[in-house]
Amino acid sequence: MSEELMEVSIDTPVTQAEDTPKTKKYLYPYWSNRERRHLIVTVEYPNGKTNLVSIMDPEGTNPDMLAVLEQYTEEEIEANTEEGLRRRNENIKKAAERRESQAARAKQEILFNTKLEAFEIPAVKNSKNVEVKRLIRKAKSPMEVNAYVTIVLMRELDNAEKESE
Amino acid sequence: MPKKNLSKGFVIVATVQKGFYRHAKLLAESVKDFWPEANITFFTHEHWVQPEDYNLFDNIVTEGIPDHIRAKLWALNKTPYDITTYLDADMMCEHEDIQNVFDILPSNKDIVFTKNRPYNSKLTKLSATEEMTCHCGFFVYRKNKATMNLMGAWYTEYLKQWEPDYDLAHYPKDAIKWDTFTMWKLLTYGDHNVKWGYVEEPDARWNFINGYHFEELQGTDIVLYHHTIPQDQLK
Repeated sequence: MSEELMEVSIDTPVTQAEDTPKTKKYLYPYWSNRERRHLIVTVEYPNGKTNLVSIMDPEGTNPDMLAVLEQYTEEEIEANTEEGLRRRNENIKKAAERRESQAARAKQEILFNTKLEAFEIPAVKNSKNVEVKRLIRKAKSPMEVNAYVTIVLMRELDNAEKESE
Repeated sequence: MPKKNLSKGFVIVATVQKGFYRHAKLLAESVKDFWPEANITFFTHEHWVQPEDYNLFDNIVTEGIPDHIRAKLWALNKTPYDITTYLDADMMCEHEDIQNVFDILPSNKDIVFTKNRPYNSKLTKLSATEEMTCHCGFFVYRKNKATMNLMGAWYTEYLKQWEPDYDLAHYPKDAIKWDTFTMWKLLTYGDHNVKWGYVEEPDARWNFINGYHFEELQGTDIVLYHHTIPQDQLK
């Protein structure tokens, strides 16, 4: 393998290498408790990775806490705290709505499937008793569906008996 | 001048998966249970049609129907009625008020939709200022040039949405698969001059989607219940 030497002109300017080491950044700090002693902050490291960090500093000597308080004013941290609280409450509300919706969906699905199954019974499907069939379709609970299905079946049995007499 | 008697009827479409065909028939049966004289046109594949289907539907259209999951968009401007109620195949009629469904289209509107409920929808918000508010699984529309052109564009624009070089702009990638997104774009940025609006509240009773809160009914009864066909029932 041959080695090539790079030629550098004598006039090439030389600049001083940066000697300040890259430091981590503190982003969006907010208080996690009412006493304002517990800070949550996103720390961005020089390699670009981020971490959500919890800082407690009862003695007032934690370097991360000191760095955050130096970088941000009290008002800025308060504003972040308010915003965080608003987002948290919104998420709680959304989660509750989702749960409620899922529960409603499950209940409605059970009722709907009960109705479908009712109309899969040939005696119900082919029944001419439109009034009771309508009641099955309108039913608001599986119990109500079952009750009307029973009525249809009984009437169909009665009809069959009468026809055979 | 005497008022012209407008023809009114339902359009149901079932293609691609046979489950849609079976559920479309269940839907038609439920409508007929409450309104035996209802006119229903069914768009589906010819090889699925059974002789008894002609007792249920007054019109079955199979010619030229695309084997496409959104064949409904192709079918809409082929309605034989002056006023049409489009029903997704996964709906079920639960009330005799179905006979009044055509009255929910006011004389000053060409098409009316029920409103999307964000708490029960996969996607409604497109950006900070743009939101898809019309539910496209049920609507009542008038046959006129503007509306028919809109329906035609709905299909062609939906197909364009799927092309690899389609410019989605700043909209979420998920929007591509929704025909609601296509209709929203046509109504918001199109120039079809269609007079559109929302069904008067409680609109939910005309298109009560599984998962809606019962309060949405405001004390009224569900007329059309909109469920989701489970995957295992689609084949």
